[in-house]
Amino acid sequence: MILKVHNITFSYNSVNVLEDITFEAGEGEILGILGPNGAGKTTLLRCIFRALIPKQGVILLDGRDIKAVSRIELAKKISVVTQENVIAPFTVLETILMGRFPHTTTFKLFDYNATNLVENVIEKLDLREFLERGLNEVSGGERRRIHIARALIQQPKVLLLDEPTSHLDPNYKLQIMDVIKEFTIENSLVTIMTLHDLSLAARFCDKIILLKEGRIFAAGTPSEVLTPKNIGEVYKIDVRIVEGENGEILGILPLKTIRDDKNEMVALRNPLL
Amino acid sequence: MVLEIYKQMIARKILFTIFSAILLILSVVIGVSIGVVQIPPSLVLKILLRGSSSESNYLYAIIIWKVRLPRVLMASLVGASLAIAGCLVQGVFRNPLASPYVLGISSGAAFGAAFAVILELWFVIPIPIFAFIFAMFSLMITYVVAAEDGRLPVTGLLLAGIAVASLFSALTSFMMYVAGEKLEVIVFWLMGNLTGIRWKEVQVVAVGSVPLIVISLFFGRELNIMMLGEDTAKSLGVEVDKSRKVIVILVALLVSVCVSYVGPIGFVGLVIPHMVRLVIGPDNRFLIPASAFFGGAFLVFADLISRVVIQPAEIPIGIITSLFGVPFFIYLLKRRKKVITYDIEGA
Repeated sequence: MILKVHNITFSYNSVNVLEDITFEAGEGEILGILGPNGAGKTTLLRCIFRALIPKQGVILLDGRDIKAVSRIELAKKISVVTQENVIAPFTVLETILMGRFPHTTTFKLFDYNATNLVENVIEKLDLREFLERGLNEVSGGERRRIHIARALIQQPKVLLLDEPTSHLDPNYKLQIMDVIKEFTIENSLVTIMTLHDLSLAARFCDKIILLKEGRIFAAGTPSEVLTPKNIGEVYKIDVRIVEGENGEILGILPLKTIRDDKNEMVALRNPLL
Repeated sequence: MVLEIYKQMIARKILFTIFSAILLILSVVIGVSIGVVQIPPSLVLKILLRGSSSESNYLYAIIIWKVRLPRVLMASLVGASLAIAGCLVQGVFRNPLASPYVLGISSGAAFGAAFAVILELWFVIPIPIFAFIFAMFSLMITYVVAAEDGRLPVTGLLLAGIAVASLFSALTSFMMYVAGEKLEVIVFWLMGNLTGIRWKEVQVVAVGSVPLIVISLFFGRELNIMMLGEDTAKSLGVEVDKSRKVIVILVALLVSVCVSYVGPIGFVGLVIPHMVRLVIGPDNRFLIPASAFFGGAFLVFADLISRVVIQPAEIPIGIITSLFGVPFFIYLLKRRKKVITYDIEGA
């Protein structure tokens, strides 16, 4: 399975939010989409699962335009963890099992084929003790894990995650990223996620796309993309990169915001503001 | 292990759905047996099951077949339809305080009925036909006002519904203001009642509502998914915009068919889904059928009370349902934090 995004342009009210985005994502790899707030990360993700239709360009899944695939067929291939913070009135288990929706029929109550998968995912995401609680009775971080579990039991070929680690403590950040990495490799998934945590991106992503004002500013491996120069240009911050013995990035420490001669923060000079 | 937990969750829902179905059957038998003339339930069952009757039961059979059964069946059909409409509308709006009447349809129907009375058109065309035409007309307005680039956004729908309801309420008030001695007829209709229901009316309503009820059952699963949020629902394969349109039209038709015949009976559509939700939770796959049975039974009992409290006179059923509905509604509002686990759209 290969996901090709070709020449995507998307605009809200004639302002281009995404321009000429082209990239490919392959099996067993995590692709990170990075960029400052408002760079178009979520919009790009929403185009890929057809919540939005781009003004120009095509998105191909194994050579097939996703516009030609019905939504239910698409749901069998692509699963998504959005940033929507809707607290539906269901129990945790009910919510997780809704991931089987595209694979079951209207009056089938339980998909017995998925029993092992469901057990496995619940175990790995450490959700067993919550199963009978309501979604309103768990914390924001727990809800994140619940929705990741829901997306995983959807058995996708492509997994899209919009800030999967937001609301999570450092322990769960690592744990969740490990689980996602494991699933990506084991099931040869095409995993695409937006991230704000540069260190986490450097550590877990195989490829990175750095967006700036709706365009691809840089793309490549983490060490190619996440250079102090690129980060400075895009995020307007000075960073120190902590490298391991083999030159791999261990962490990216933000040091200070870049200011101009008048001591104003450069990042605030965004023409859109 | 997960399977066991899930089976337990489901078992409870199935049991309550069966219980509601039995309750509905019981309510029909009781509803038919009680009235100005008391008929023992055993005799009711005998007459209902055998169809014809012996000489000694002749009078009872006539009361049952000609008077009470059509009325009781009408009550159960209307109760079921309104309760289902309530489930659907609360699911679509992701708002537990929505009632099937928020779309403005019942107000349109009420105006249609008042209009027919004022113009004395009911000699030519029956009031329900007029009410139905105006219900459809108000749906059209709500729909057109709410639609945005071929989509039907929830907030827009709610606001358009409120606007249309206000418009037709004002027009109805005007009709009542100029009604003179016909005012009583309008008021009677507006309070909702099942007086004088015969097989002809039951047949028409059944032909309209039974298919709609059956179609509604197919939407439970999708409605569950839609409650997770719009993008998540799309990613799970639900055509959110399309499903929402279909559900809104389903609600509108269910409400129109019932309200046109029996008037805008209040609170069933709002309260019944809540009562059921308190027992089995919000899973629409079970909430919809269980509410249908439960709503049907509720309205049969409400009708029974309306017939017997000051017999041989009747209290309009709308008054009874609201008398029961309002205290429960207030109770719900008071413990909203516990019951409402919805995230209200746009709030």
